[in-house]
Amino acid sequence: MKKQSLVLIAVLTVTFIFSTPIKPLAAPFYEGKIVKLIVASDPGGGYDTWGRLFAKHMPKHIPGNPTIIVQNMPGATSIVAANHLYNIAKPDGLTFAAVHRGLPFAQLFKSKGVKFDLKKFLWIGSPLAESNVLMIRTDLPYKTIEDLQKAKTPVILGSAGPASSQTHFPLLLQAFLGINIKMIYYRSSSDIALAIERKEVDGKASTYGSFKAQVQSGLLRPIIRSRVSEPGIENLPVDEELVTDKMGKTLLAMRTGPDVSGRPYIAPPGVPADRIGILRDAFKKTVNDPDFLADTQRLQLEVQYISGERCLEAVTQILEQPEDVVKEFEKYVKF
Amino acid sequence: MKFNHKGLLGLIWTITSAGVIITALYLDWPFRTALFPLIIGSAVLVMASTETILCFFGNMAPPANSQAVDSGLRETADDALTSKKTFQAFTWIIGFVLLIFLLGFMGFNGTSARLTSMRYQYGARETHRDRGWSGRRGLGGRQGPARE
Amino acid sequence: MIDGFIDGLLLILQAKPFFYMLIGIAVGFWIGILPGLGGGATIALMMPFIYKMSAQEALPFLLGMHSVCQTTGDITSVLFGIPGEGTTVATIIDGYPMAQKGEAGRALGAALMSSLIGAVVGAMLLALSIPIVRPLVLALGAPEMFMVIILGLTCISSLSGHGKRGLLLGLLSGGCGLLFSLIGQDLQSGILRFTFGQLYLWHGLSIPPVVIGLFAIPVIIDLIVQGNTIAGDVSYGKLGKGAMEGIIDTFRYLGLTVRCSLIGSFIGILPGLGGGVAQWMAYSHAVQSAKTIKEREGFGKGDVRGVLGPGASNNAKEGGSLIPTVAFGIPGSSGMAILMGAFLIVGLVPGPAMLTKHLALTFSMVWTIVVSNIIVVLVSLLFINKIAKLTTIRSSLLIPFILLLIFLGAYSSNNHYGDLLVVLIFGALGYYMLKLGWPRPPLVLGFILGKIAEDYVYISSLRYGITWLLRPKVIVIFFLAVIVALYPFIQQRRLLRKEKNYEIQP
Repeated sequence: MKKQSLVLIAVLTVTFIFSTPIKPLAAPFYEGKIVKLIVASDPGGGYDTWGRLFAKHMPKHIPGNPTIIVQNMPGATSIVAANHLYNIAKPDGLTFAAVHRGLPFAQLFKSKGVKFDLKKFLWIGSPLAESNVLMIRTDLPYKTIEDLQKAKTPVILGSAGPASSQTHFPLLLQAFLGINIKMIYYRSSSDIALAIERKEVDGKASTYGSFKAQVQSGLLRPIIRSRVSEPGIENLPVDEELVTDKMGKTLLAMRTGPDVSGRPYIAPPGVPADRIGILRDAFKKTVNDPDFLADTQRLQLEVQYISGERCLEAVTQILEQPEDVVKEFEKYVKF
Repeated sequence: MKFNHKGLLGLIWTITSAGVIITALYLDWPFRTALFPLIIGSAVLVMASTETILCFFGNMAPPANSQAVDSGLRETADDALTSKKTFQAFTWIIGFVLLIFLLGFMGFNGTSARLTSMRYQYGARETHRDRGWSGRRGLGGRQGPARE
Repeated sequence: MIDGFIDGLLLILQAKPFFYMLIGIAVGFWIGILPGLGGGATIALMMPFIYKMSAQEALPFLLGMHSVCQTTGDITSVLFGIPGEGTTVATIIDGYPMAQKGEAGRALGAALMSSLIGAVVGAMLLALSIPIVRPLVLALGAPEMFMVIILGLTCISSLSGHGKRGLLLGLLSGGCGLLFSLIGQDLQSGILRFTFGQLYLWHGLSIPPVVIGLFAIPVIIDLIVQGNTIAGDVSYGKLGKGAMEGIIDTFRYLGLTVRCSLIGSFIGILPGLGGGVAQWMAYSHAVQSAKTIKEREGFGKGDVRGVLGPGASNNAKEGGSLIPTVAFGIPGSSGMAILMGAFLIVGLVPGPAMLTKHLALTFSMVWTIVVSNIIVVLVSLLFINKIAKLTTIRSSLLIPFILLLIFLGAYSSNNHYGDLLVVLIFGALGYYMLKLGWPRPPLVLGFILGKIAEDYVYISSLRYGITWLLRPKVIVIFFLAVIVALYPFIQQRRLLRKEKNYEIQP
């Protein structure tokens, strides 16, 4: 009987040990601390990869060398993570997040569940500005935008869904350049890549980086891009320049807006100025860190430091568009 | 009609599937969005109502343990005691969840943070030893699709 | 190609890769056993270590870890009736009743040995199919994939209970699973269906909490109600036939084991189906192999074949799902998606080059799967009878541990408390389903396949118009599905006739 109670006590003790919290240590502020980087997507994707690169390289640029751990919080295309950061996370400089670049549209369209104001977040920066390119299979006869305009049968494009820029970009091009397209939605980028190889779809619009391999292997041909450029696609025609309609130009510019903050990193409102300064500084140093750059080169990721101010500027511009423009925009762009 | 608790599950599903069908029809969904809910909802409605009727009105009792593919609850002699203990069991489990919820902000976050920080700290030590991994070219080429 | 085959083996027999493989095995052993901590989420946690490694070290580590998860996940399923992995749920259906009868050792032996055979078959398939892999995967488009899913759904009829009432409940259960899969944002329109204003439900219900709730909670309730041990009244020490018997069973039913391995491999190759399906198709195939009506009824109560089938197919699926990952850069499952991220970090590019220039490396992956499974099976067998004795520990000691583990596991998939509520709700549902004779496997199957089915219907009809139903491969798979759906009835008639014949003959 006694032995059994001892075992029971041991079991309960172990169970409780697993629930004890960690005690924080002394200054410099970040020394010995754990910084949480919340990534608003599933592990393995682009946002997650970038997040883990930062988690790996940023600590040495923060005085005190804290540990940065990645916590995945997928959900409602980063609305869940943004809500958490805005309302629940403590603004003590120990939490920041990587959210989806399209988040401004959620706030713009007053999507259900949005409980934050992007303008109030403290923007840390982005490691790159993402381009958007429409790419078509090379075995098809469409080589230029004019070919697409003249196509007799709709060109079938794969996309991740009505809320993705992979849909917005072609739909806007269809409305204002008259190209003949049909969208089919798939659940993931890999499914679309497979569909392209199976000749099930004729192409897709995406960031250049995602499908660079297919372009370089000759499977896909880039046709037209949006304002943000990258090495390799500088010479492509630009959507805003080709479109003559004034509303069209405005809408295309709006769509491109978030691309500037290609992979946005934000902190909760209210973080003390010195700590957010440390984070922003560390972010900038990391993006220029040779080890970081070696990693990104290996993954063939383009890097271009975009400051927090620049990101906030782009976001504010989108959020302050007049009602009628927003209404028109909503016809093509969903969140 | 024998109103016993055995038909309760069937009844719940009858109501749920009816709810699904009504939602699909009245919420103004485009054809494709409503298609699957309508088809599956209808099928489940038919089957669930059949099951409910069989339980309440028919002579067929639900299959005994021996007929189901899936078993796992062992037979007990005393039904009343079983019910009481089952209720207690559920209460315990719910209580446990509430405990986690309350302690959670210190508990799990602390635990997972500590475990992962241990991993990261070990990883950091590796950097200092600098095993020159960046000098090592992987065996593949340098192309690769970055993921969306 | 033979050079690649041999070079691959030599690659992992070197000191450093072998060492990393052993570490991977050690980590994977525990990940598999702990419920809810999936192979996928853990690979993500391992990323910081992988940054430091070269390809030759990272691959054995990751693959060793991942392929061993499937094997040890079966252990939890058998011993506690709680799925160690999302892919080892089917093992519970017969494995846990065996443990309840005191045959835990035998069940574990069977699970381990069939896992090993599955891993070997899957790896062999990976090696052999290297030349034909690309055309094979490209040949199946969305319409064909939809038919394969229908094929998967028809397995529900084999998973249903016996008799007409059993069939009704099985189909009903499957339908309920399909209904659950509808929750979430609709792919084609972005419209939210059945989310009741909850952000948590935008992407639908996550599989791990659902499965943990359905299977783990009833087990715990049963333990509390019974008040003694998992193995019931069988006393400590008398655990019946041990692991050796289980191993012999694997070879006694070798045909079944190999066939289920092939099922697992095939499903693994098809990108997008996910690992959850293979186990149920293998299980229903095992049920179909019953030779008498009595045998058929014995499934779900502790027939060792119900353990062999899923045990084999899970590991075979590993080798299978490596194929599209390596050959196309298209992950065959979510765990593979993360594995692929790791490939990229160490500088490996999935694609045709892996099958030509880097063939030795690809083969080394094949060998890693085989060798790591051999090692884990041998090590587990050494301790198996001791592990089996866990079923004789008093439940009052086990329960708090199990509860903590399952909720931790459920929480870890999304870091959201909603998951815990899901566990509770599905726990209650699972309990009532058991009490009222509703089979749970069809619900899980319907839930997993529902969303993908809808996607493929949509993609097929949008891309090909209504004629997609008439494509040749689609029709072939459809006939296969019809056969599988009708098989229980054919089987029943055949068995009845056989038994009548026995009666007639003096």
